Amino acid sequence: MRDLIPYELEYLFSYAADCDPNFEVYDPSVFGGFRLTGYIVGGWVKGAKINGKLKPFGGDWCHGTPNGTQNVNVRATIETEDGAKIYMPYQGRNDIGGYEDVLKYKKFIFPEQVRNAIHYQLETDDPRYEWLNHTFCIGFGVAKFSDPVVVRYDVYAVRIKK
Amino acid sequence: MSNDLNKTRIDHLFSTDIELDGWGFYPSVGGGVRVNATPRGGEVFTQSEVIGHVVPGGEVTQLLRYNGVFELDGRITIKLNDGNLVYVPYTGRADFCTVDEIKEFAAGNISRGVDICFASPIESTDPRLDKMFTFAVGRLDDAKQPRKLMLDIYEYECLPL
Repeated sequence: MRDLIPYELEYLFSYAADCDPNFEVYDPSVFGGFRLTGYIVGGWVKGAKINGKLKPFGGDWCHGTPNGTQNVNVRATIETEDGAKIYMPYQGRNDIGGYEDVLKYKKFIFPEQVRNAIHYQLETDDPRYEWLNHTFCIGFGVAKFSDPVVVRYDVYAVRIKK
Repeated sequence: MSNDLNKTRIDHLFSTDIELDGWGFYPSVGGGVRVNATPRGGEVFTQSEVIGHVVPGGEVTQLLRYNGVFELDGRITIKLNDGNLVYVPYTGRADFCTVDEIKEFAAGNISRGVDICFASPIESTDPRLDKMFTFAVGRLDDAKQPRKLMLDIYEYECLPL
C-alpha cells in the first residue's frame, strides 16, 4: 500500500443541452437493453474558462442496460463567444434503478431525476483553447424532469499535482 | 438557472500497482507513436488492506498523438479476494511531451514517466460495483517501455438537486 497520488479538480464551465423532445427508442435484441437517441437543438455554455452555446446538431446515443444503468454516449459541439469551435464528445453513466425502471424509461416514463457521471476528451483547432487538447475532464450532470425540465452539467479538469 | 454548481461525491474506490510487460513500441503508425503493454499482475488495495489482485493479461496501450498527448486505451481485469471480478475498460489522456520532442521519443532518444488520467464504466460480478462510473489518476513509470502502472480509482457521482 502507498499514499494516494495527489490531484485536484479545476472548474471549467457548465452547460445545458436543449433536446428535440421526439426521442427515439431502439430495442435491438443484440445487447439485451435499449438505445435511446435524443438530438441536440441548442443550449448554453458558461463558466470560468468557456462561454458560448451548443451548436444545433449532435445528440445522445444512450445505451440502457438491463441492470438499470444507462451508458451515455454524446457528440456535441460548442461555439464560443469569441468564435472558437470545440468538439465535445463524451461518455458516462447513470443509474435509473432496476429493470422495471428500464422498462418504464423505454416508454418515456422518466424518474424524477437522472444524475450523470461523465468524462470528456475535448478537441479544438483554435490556439486560444489549445490547452483543452491536453486536458482530461470529468463532469457531473443532472436532469430533473420537472416543469420546466432542469438540466445542468458542470465540467472540471483533472490535474495531477507534481 | 442557478449559478450554483451541482453537488458531487467522489470516493476513493481502490488502488493498484500493476506490473507490466512493455513489449510493444511502434515508432511510426498512422496516428502517431504507439506503445503497448500487457498487465502481468499486481496488488489491488484500499488505504487499509489488500482486497484483490490484477489478473494477468489484458492490455494497456498508449498512442502518442502529434500534439504530444498520449491517447490511452486499456482493458484490465481484477479479481477481488471475495471472488468477484471487476473489468476495467478505460479511455483517457496523458500530456507527455512537446511537439518538438515527439521525433526524439519515436527515435528512442528520450523517455520518462508520465501522469495519466482515465475514465472507466467498470463492470463487475458485484452488483454494487457494476453500476459505478469511475475515473483514475495514475503514473506510468516509463512511457517507452512501461513496467509499472500506479492507479488510484475513484467512484464519482452527481448528487440529487
